[in-house]
Amino acid sequence: MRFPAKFILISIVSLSCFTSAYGQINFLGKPGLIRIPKPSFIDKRDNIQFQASYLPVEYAINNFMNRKSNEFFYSVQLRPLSWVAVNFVLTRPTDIPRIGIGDRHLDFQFFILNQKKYGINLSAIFSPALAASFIDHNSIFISRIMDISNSISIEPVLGYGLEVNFREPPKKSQLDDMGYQWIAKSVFGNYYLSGFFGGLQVNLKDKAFFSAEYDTQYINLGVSATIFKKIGLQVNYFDLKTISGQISYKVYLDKSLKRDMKGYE
Amino acid sequence: MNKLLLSIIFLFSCTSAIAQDVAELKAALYAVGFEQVLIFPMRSTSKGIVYMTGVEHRGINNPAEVVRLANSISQELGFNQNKFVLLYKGQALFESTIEHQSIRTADFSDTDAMDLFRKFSVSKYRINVVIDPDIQIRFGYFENPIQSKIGVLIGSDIILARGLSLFTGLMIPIQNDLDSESNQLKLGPTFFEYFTPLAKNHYTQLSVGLFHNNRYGLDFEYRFFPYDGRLSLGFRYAKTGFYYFPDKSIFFDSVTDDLILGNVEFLFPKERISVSLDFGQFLARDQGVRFFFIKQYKNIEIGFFSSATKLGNTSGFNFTIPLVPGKLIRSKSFELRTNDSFRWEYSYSNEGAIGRDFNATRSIKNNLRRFNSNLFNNY
Repeated sequence: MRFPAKFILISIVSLSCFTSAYGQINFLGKPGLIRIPKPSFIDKRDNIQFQASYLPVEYAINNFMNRKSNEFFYSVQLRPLSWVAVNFVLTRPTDIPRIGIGDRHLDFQFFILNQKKYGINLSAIFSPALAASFIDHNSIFISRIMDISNSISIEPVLGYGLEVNFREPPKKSQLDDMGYQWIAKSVFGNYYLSGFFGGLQVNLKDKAFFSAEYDTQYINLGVSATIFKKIGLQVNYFDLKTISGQISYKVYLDKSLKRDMKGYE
Repeated sequence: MNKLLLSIIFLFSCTSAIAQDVAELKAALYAVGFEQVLIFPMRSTSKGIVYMTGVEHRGINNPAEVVRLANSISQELGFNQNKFVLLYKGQALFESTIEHQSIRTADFSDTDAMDLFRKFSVSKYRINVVIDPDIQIRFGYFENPIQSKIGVLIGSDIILARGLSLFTGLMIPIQNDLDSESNQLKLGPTFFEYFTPLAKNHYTQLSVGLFHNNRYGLDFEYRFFPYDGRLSLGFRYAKTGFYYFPDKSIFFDSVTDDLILGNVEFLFPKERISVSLDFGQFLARDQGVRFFFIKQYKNIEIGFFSSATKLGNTSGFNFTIPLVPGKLIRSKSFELRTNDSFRWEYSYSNEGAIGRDFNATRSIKNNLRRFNSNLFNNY
């Protein structure tokens, strides 16, 4: 594991020297570090972004039928308004039979304050309670981007994720009140973003991003680069023990997709 | 006498030069995919002649781009003051001009309407053959998590008269583990469709035949759509039945299903977002409401919806995208291309037909939305 990890890290860092990056996204496709989100925009241009990421079984989130497995997360993200992003995630654990298509998750990220006007970036994520709840998270977080030199800036992120969810209890729990109520996320085996989290992202000339974070469970490191302005590659080092990765693809929507329009825009 | 002769010759050479230029413009516009290019002079100014140009482009799903493309090509050929009238199936909608990169729209006059009417000819359309994948997927059954029915529809909208078309095609099934329809080559949706404005801002469409989504029967739609307004209202009534193709035959259920829907839609032009509410009776006598939130991008439309009906509640999304590569073959009278408005919808619930309609890609509610001129300068 050691050699390929180093190799990937080195190749990404070297790739990033001659490509441009629009920023780093977390494993769910949101602006973020590795597992935690961040409140600053990545890209001002209209775009839709598709991502596949991989979580090794030790850090898996979905515990369908009380079993964990290596997981793939497929996500689509769109920002229809400047202040809200919609994120759709499909979770597919491998090696678990009879999983159906996988759990679907939807959430909204609201960009409430931006640094230009208010000195800090403030953002909140809201997950409506759907059937599957493994990655439901309702959190609020802040950051501030600080220029260290002409080519380097750093962005500390600090946030808090609710440890409870407002939803119906599990069917087997046989409570007197089976209606919507505040229930600890751990009842559903959901430990993602429960409590305080934080991290630091270093941005090198907008070309390479290095991240370190505490995601309420583990300390993770990550490095990313964007190639051909559309494909994002990222390598993550979970709990300083296991290497994993993610790949994303961006389609810009502010340019004409019609060949007849070529040269006439 | 000589002077008169000379001036006649001069005048003649001038008009023939202009006619030559107009022919050149026409050819240039047809070459980039325009159809029904109708050019006629309106008036003469110090900068030259102002031409009214009727244009339609079935391969570009954004009317603002259609106007910009037509204008760029006209400018290249020295036509600096052209006005463009957007046509939809040959029916004139409104007039657009470009000044300082921004599109201005206006109503056209009655005489312009008469000119466009007289110049219209069915022969000015190409035979337009469109490759359109038909992908139906049901997610989530444990034994078979992705049940799908995939086919390719090779279809053509044959324009028969102003506003009147016959859509027909051939469905090539690729695979099906979703329902019992046979995997043989079969007739695609085949229906007559007549679109016409009734008066300024009032439009109707009537269709009869075998529609998309295995429905057949009659479909009527009315829409109040002021092209420069924000609010639009619609009404749809359809009486349909179910049809499908079991092995080597065709099965028709009786035409007893009434769809009666009202619609209110409001546009936020700066954000390019429409909020839309359907209410009434959907397919399968399901009564309730469906709320849409639709965002427009240059060639892509993305919608999020929530339905609450007698059959249950669901949410989901849909998108309309142009398929690559687009144009495959284009000649003077023929064009083969992939669908420029491929639509696909995902619904969270896969139990029952909650708030369903049919033939959505053809409804004037969905097709006129992009013609709102408030959007034109906001992409």
